[in-house]
Amino acid sequence: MKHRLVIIGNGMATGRLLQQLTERAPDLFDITVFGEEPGGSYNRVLLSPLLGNELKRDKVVTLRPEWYAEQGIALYCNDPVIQIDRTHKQVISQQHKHIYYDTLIIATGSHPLPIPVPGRTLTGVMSFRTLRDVEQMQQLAAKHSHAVVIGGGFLGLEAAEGLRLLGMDVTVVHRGEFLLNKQLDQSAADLLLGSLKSRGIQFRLNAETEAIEGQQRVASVLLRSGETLPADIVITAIGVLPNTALAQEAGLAVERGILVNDRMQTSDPDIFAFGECCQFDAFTYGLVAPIWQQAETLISNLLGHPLRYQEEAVATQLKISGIELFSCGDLRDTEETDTLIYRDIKLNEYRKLWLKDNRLVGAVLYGDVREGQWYFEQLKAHNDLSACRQQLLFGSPFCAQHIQTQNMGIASMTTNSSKRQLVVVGNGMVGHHFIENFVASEAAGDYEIHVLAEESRGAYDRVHLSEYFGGSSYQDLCLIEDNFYEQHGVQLHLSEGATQIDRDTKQVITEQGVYPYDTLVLATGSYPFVPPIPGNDGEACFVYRTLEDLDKIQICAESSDVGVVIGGGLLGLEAANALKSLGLKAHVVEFAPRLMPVQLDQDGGALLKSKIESLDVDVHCNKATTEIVAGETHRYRMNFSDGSYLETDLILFSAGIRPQDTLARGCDLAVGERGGITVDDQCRTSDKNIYAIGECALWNNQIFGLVAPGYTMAKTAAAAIGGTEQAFTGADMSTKLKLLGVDVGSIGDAHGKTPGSISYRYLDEDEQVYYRIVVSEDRSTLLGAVLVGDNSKYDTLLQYALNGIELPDKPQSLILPSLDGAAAPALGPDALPDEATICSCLNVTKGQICYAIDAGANSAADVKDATKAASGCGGCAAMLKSVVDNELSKRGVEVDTALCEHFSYTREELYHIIRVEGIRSFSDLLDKHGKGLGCEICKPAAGSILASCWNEHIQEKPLVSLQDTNDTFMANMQKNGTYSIVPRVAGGEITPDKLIVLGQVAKRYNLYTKITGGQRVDLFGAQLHELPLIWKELVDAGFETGHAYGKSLRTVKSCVGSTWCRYGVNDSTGMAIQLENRYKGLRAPHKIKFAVSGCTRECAEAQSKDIGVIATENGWNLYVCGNGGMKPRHADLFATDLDDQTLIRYIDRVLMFYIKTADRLQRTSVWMDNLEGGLDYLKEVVIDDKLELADELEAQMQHVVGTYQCEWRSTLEDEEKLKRFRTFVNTDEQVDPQIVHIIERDQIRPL
Amino acid sequence: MTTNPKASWTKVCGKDDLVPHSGVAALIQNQQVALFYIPGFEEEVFAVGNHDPFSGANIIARGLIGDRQGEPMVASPLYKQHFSLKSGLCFEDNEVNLPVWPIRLKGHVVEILQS
Repeated sequence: MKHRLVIIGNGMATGRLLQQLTERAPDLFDITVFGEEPGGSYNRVLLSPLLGNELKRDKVVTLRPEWYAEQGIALYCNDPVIQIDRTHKQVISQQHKHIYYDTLIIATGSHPLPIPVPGRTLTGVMSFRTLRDVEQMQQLAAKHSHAVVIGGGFLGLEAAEGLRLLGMDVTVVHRGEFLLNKQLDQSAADLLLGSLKSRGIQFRLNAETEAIEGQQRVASVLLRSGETLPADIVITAIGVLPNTALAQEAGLAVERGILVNDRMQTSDPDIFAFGECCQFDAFTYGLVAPIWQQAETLISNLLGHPLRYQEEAVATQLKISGIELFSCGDLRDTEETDTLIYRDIKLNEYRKLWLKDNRLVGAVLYGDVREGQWYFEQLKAHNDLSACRQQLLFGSPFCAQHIQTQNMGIASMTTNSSKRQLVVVGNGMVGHHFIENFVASEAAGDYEIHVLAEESRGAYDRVHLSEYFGGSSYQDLCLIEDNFYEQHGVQLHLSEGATQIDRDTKQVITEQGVYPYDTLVLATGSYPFVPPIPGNDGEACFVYRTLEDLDKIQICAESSDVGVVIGGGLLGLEAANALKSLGLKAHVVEFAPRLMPVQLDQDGGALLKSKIESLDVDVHCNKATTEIVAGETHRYRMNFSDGSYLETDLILFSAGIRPQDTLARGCDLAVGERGGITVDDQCRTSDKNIYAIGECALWNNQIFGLVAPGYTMAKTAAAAIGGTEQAFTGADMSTKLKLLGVDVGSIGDAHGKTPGSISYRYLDEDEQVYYRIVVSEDRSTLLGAVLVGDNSKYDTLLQYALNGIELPDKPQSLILPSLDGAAAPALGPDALPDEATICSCLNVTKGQICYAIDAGANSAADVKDATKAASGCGGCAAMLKSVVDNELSKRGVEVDTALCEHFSYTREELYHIIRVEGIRSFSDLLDKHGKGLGCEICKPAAGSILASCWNEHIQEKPLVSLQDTNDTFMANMQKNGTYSIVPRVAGGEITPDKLIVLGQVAKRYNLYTKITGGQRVDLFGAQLHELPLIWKELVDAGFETGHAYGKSLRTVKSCVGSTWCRYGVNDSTGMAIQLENRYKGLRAPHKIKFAVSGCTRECAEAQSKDIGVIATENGWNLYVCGNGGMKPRHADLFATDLDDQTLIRYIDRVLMFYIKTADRLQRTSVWMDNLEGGLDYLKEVVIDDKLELADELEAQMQHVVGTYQCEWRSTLEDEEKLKRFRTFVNTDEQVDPQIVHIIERDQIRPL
Repeated sequence: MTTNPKASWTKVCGKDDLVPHSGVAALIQNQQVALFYIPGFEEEVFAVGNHDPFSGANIIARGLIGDRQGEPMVASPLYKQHFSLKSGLCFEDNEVNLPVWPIRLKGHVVEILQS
């Protein structure tokens, strides 16, 4: 039996909850909803425009009753729950329904505070809260003329404005000194008052209501001042109270609201409460944003994810009769705060900011509120704003450069309110690419941009979705660079999908508000097609499109053994791989006679099938599923039309996509017969103010399901809106990818459908490769190609096809293997025309690459930065490099790889020489392979290599002169010539006794102490001759050198992990100590930092380290080549769920391979970025042992590990070595008199 | 560098106090001098000021030595400017130079010429 979920209340909060829950976990719960009002859930925020007839009623209702039925939710309208029977876990309704629950959710909302004066029950006295209230008000307004609104808060003013629009004379009676006294300061309130008065609303401020008078019907309102106001209708709006009566009677803990914890749980663990009825800490709620967050928290906890609710500051943004107001924070003038005020009487604008210690604590904006969000962010971030105090009142365009060092060029400096409104619906890959392009255009400054996103997370890389199961997180897949939207003033509204477009009023309507547009861009993408097979709606039937889908699949996979993917296309095979990675036996069922029927021909498909089957994924082609029924050995049985069947626990539909054009249909935009929003060459729809891009757009009767054409459309639309026309002219649908480790490529007319075309095919069943090329009738041009098992020829073939380059005499030579040693005629970069597209994702041509080189780019990496080429799928990286290298050499730029003037070798070559020839000293190396005396470049490089290879003490006679001063004296030189000392504290774990020793030593030698980022203690200010004395004490107390001075392993940072932390899943500290002790002293091309986190919360920040290890339920995930510092780089996920031994083996290999191949002073991050073949190549070397190096690398590491010695300990034992630690060799006087320290914050520092 | 008639060769330290292919510092009449030893080179010992004009710290003796186009040099360990061991001239900024002293090896004794 399904888990029974009963929800009391059917307001906005419940509506939100139901929508999210049914989307994320359909069929998981048996849901019953009780509502007090008739009908489905509606958007209370929109009641005001409804009242004033600014909006139609159907736009207010978010969930129609039929929707509940479609979702299988039992909805009882007009039937409030009157009792919660916790003993029997049931609720009892007014109409005597008894419904049992496993989990109960109370969302009873709030009710208007009754006004404590006589006459409040007279007819015509009412509140403004429900649809019914609105109807009544409208009816009364039609017959009467005098209205009194009691309460000058937001709701009161909205009611007043609505009634005014209905033609009534309205007077607002308000107790406070000024309107909206919770949200505004007096000046802003006065401005508002003036505006509303000028529209004809009257006000009585500082006014108390004495009584409401009349016989049965209301006739007037008597004020304490003695004044009588005529009234045919009285609206009371003096506040709301949480509805707690039910909960209180049931014995739940209640204060002002129903008390909940941070999982929204009441004092009964089976009962939850959220929305306006609940109380968390001291807070109760009335605004939408925190309630949405509560809904999210609640759903997550229902689905077993322990998400916790956190109170966050909220800003209020209001619009009253067209006047916009924004406020956030604390608006009180106190002695500690100072204020900035700006007022423009002509424009009727006002701003006031409250600052405390140069940090924003409150803000009120009146009129122009566009900067509100930015102020709110500054407030939440506690940013120090002293640098831009002068400009602060003018908002982000004037301040951003003072605050953000990476100012991305906020184009607009205008603050006039003439900005046009651009709304983008959808924040997928294409929608995001549009924003990137548009904000870079000149026109961006003229627009205020709103992005409405249905998903709760910003744009992410859907192409690499399956890596989510490999351990990549949303952050890894996220496409939006930090603060990118904020910096460009783009307002991203997450979890706020558009529900309607009103083309007449040019508005986009969401559940939470209305967005007017001048220009609208639809980037709504597509939805997966689920074939109409009976039984396709089972709870273990999924699609594969969003991170939420993946979350659900992952949960279901835990209780499954077998998974079937219906659909053998590109995405289907990816999905099969994903199932396999989740530990399921995977099957692929394809309707067509072969896999990837669109891209591959019969032979290609057959080869792919056999390769994939050899990877233990079963492929069933030519199978039409007729029904999904209950299985015998597994959850389901799929019956096929040929009478056969297959049993499985989980089914994934990947049978193609359909354009998501619902919004467009709803507002009568032209759409194609089979779906898709019709667009022209500029991506404009049938409405010239609306554009459509990506998978939802239909161009020339084609839908494009790939990223590259989507990106081109995004660019085209951005240009068109910016006023520069460029045309979308279709796209090349060629694809190159690796499916389950198998190379597959398809170019152009892969099936040879062009009349007269002929094909050449090569099939090698031994090597498991298949090539086919399709050429034109006259054999001059390449029309298409199919590649399976090897994509090395793809780039060349694609260039032939795209650029119409004339084929060689014997076209088959392009795909035939070179048996006699003659290489196949690869297409050199010189043969490509300037217009040849090198990167088709970002549409970068060879011409643009040449231009970047002429503009100063000096390497493939420079060109990548300048043009973004190879930053999409990355498939063109090798091609890019060969073009760049070729162009550089054509320009006479010799890429000088010599280490320095003394050695004409790269570091990698020197490493090889030293290893192979067994060279053990610099003089030997110089004699045999170099010249001169050496220098500060080659000496430390050689010293480091010698140490990596032979690991002799760095102060041995032949080696000591090679070391930098830090290595020479085994301490870090500071600016005044003194040194700092860092003993090793492996994993950051230290006993109190050792801590005391550090303190004692520091005190004795008067050293400045500071905690480092690597979880140890740095002692500063030691003079040269003091180093041995200090180290003697440290070594005696059991400390070892920390190698903070070396290009070597520094620290392994860790969190406490499972030993202490309630979230930890493995002993991260133990692993950190083990790793630190293993690799300590390892000398490398540059310093190396590690971290180990005990769970995915990642408290040790392992993903910013050269080697990062994160504990999982099943072992360790290994990340490599991250960096913090100057150029941060997220580490790449290298391998998942490793046991201890494998983890260490892989780290051995990765590090030794780095030491073997990196440049001098090249951190692992840069090394990775420059490694040809990148992460995949490194995996092949380390995991697959492609170079057959693994044993050697491990042995080399074992040598280093086995020969470790604490350099300081051995130095202290050697008089000869200690001689170096003399400030002067010729006197007993050792103190350098010129070193002077002063005291600051009770410690020394250099003068 | 002219030879001052009043100057005389004075012992600084023993040859054993020098470190081959590296430097040590000596205090001579309240002046800090960096001494370098390159065995087998045309001149084997060099003496330049230990005070680094760029950082203001007394650390030249702790720099790495080698040659630039055959000219023996020391690289400051702090900001990495190069100075000729023969002339004291800074390669990066020819308005800056270290003081230099004539120095010689006499048997096992290191001698410097000072006024």
